[in-house]
Amino acid sequence: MKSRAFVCDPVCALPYGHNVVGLKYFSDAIRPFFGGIIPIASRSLLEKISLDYGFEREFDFYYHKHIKVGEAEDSNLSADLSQRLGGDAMLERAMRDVDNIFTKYAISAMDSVVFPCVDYYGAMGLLSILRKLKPENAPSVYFRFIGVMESATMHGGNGLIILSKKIATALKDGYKIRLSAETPAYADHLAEVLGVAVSVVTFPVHTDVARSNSHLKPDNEVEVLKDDHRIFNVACPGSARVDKGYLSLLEIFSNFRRHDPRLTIKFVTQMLPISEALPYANYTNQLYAIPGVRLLPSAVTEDEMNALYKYSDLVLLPYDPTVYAYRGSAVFMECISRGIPVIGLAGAAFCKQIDYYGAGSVVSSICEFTEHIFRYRDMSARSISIGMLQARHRYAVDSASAITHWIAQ
Amino acid sequence: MKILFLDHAFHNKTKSSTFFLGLIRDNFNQVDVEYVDPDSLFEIKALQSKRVHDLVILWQLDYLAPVFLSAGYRTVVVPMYDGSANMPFEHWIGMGQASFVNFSRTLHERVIAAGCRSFLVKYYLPPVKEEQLPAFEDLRGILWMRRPQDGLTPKLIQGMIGNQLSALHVHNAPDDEQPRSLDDPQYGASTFKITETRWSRNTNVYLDALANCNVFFAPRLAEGIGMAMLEAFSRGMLVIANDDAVHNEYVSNWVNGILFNKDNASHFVLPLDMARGIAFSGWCGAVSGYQEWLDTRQQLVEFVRGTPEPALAVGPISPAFVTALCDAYMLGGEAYRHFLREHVVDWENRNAIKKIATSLVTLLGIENQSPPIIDEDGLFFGSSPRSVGRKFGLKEYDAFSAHLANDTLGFSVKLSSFNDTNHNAYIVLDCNLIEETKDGWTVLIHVNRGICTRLSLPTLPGEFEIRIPMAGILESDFDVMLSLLNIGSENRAADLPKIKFSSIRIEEDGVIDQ
Repeated sequence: MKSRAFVCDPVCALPYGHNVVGLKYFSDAIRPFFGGIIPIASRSLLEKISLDYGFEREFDFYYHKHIKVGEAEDSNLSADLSQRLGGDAMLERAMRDVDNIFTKYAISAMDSVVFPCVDYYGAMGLLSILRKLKPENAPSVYFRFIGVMESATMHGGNGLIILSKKIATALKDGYKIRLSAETPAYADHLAEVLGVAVSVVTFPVHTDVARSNSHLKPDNEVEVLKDDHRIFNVACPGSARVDKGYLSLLEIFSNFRRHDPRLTIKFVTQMLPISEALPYANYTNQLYAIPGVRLLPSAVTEDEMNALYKYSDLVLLPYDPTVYAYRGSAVFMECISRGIPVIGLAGAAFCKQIDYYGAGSVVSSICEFTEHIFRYRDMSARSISIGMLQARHRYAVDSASAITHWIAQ
Repeated sequence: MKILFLDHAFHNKTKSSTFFLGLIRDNFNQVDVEYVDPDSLFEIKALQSKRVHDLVILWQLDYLAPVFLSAGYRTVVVPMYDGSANMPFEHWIGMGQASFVNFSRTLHERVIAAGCRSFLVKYYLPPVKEEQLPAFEDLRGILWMRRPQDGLTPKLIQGMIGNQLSALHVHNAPDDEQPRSLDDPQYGASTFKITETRWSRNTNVYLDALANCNVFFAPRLAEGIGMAMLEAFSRGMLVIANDDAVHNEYVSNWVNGILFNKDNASHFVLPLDMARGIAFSGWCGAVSGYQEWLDTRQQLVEFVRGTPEPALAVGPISPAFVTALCDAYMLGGEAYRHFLREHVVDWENRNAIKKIATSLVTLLGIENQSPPIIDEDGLFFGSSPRSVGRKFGLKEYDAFSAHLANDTLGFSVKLSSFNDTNHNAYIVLDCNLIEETKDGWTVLIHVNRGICTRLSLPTLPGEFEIRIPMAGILESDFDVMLSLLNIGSENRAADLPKIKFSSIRIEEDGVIDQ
């Protein structure tokens, strides 16, 4: 057994979104393989949250240009200055942070560093510090690519290309690096780029979810939790982004409502962040005007998100197939863990997983959503529960097996 | 908790705030109500005596929020889209410590962008029972012609729907109290039968007509809450409304109602089955929405109760400040914006304001807006360092001084020795038109917020006088505003006349007091 695993997510800075739960889920999922787990988040994460979850806070936040998190300090200014001088201030910060972590925790070849959601600066910083050690003295590194922040650079260049080259060189020089990706499509793409096998590691099924927030029982029993006569709730968690299909929701909701004036189904979604809202104010008004549609703020707390899942019978994922050609969906993985069927738009990488696990439907166009929503509304609660129980079972087995193979190989 | 509910005097007539006031009265021990008429010289009684209220609720009088916040009142603002849609971003930032109850999502978004606390709520009226829904054997429309000057007339309806309507009832009771002749082709229509009622003390006239119709045309271009529209939804009528808030926050186009663009309204086909289905969807939404309103009311009350005390209160506010704020507001966007920047927005806390302002400015799309000037000298009056008005002994706060819009300017005069108002006396401004003007300009002269007189500007360069009659004006404080109008030109700002003001004097029965 290896001594310790440092589970790192420098992007884990906001109290909402998937980074906090992702860091927790992955830390728990790999715990059996290590003597100790040290989850490490950004220093921008609220102290209370880090204490609640047992996270250390060691990373600066490198992505103020991409994500609004707390005070940007002078980062933009210094980054601009650094860029003009041919440097990258964020990379320098990341290297400093990783160096400090290596020193503080006396990280050795016995240890492992795990990035469950690879980000550009975190990974680049680690690889740069790694090069200061001989391969035999360096810790094992586990990178899991999800297609979000591995491309995000201050200078606007494609970080994934730079990072891929750096990884390829490190592999060639004998450093122990194990790669995985969230979807088969992304894993295949990375394998082609890097010339090594890349595992597929999905989001782990988390025991907390299974016990308290799932529509299903944690063991393999079928329990019908739904009342067939109550209103059927359809949610679009995380759709508060244009690339996640926000601009398709009006067509979906209004088409459906024309066929369902008596509101047998209610919809709930999140709105765009204020900073992006202006061009879509009238569009959002039209969403808001549809009877039986509830709009939530763009950011909700973990408790609010749990409540949203708890009362959802079906989740819509009309994600942009181009943007999500390689990417997975944390919402889909949350849903399969909780026993909620989803409808996705064909072309997104995670849709193959929806199909494979039988965790919902995949439609080829926005106008088909209406028909499929009706289909789920008209299915018995028992039928949905049994289907989702089986989907979660298969998914959980695959997920656990994939993590085991990735970590323990 | 003792509450002051401050409302626009107009709502004492329309009763559109009654439902909200009732909710507040049901949940708080003591609620005092004061109605304010911004169009007349008003006084806010609650500010003229010792403070007795813990919290103030401003219904549509959002611009008064800085007054109460500065005085330390916990302040709840209920803004209305039709009144506040075009407010500058300083308006919202200036009341950042207030809590907002928003009946418009559009305003809610702006308020949130300004960093304020806001509660978004949708109001609905109790719906009729399903068996009481109107039949749709034919389409019988109703239009309360409140704003014919905005083009909301039978003629517009004819262009959109033509002879698909079997009849249209026009409640010919405009807000300006001047019913229009429906025989006038500017307003009337010929492709459907028109019946007509006019204003009556008996409100049943309108409601009786409503009960005989199944298609409702919203009477205004935009609304704050849209009570008439909500009434139509609750009755199961097909709602057709101009595409602006809050109509477009209640009507999803061709789902539960129909939206049109008044400036580009085109003909549409409306089969009876479709009309029935859309109207039914609107009614179902009203049924659901009314229940949600009932379920939400207690949260709303708790939101009001949880309004924090303002952190930056400075204590009792001078009446001059209140007057100046109201003056600036009445003068229009640029005057009001300038006043807020000068006297209300806390620029010392610049960094925080800047962060908020950036998102709000982006949201409102006014990033590059800057106040225009009237001529090369700026023509600032009042407390401006360059002001020619300083010689008048201006008040500490002078709204007019804070402003110079492209077509409006003003100043205040305090006349301590002038008490007899029966004299034929004038304030005379000596002016000089610097350049020839192409069009005929009119100067409207307002004194103490009422139009006093008007004159036509000369078109050729040279000196001229503006004489402002003082007879009949009881106050010794004169707030004077000059508005330049050029009705013949579409682009007023581009060709404003260049005027210099050289001196001011009082003429009284032929005696000059300079």
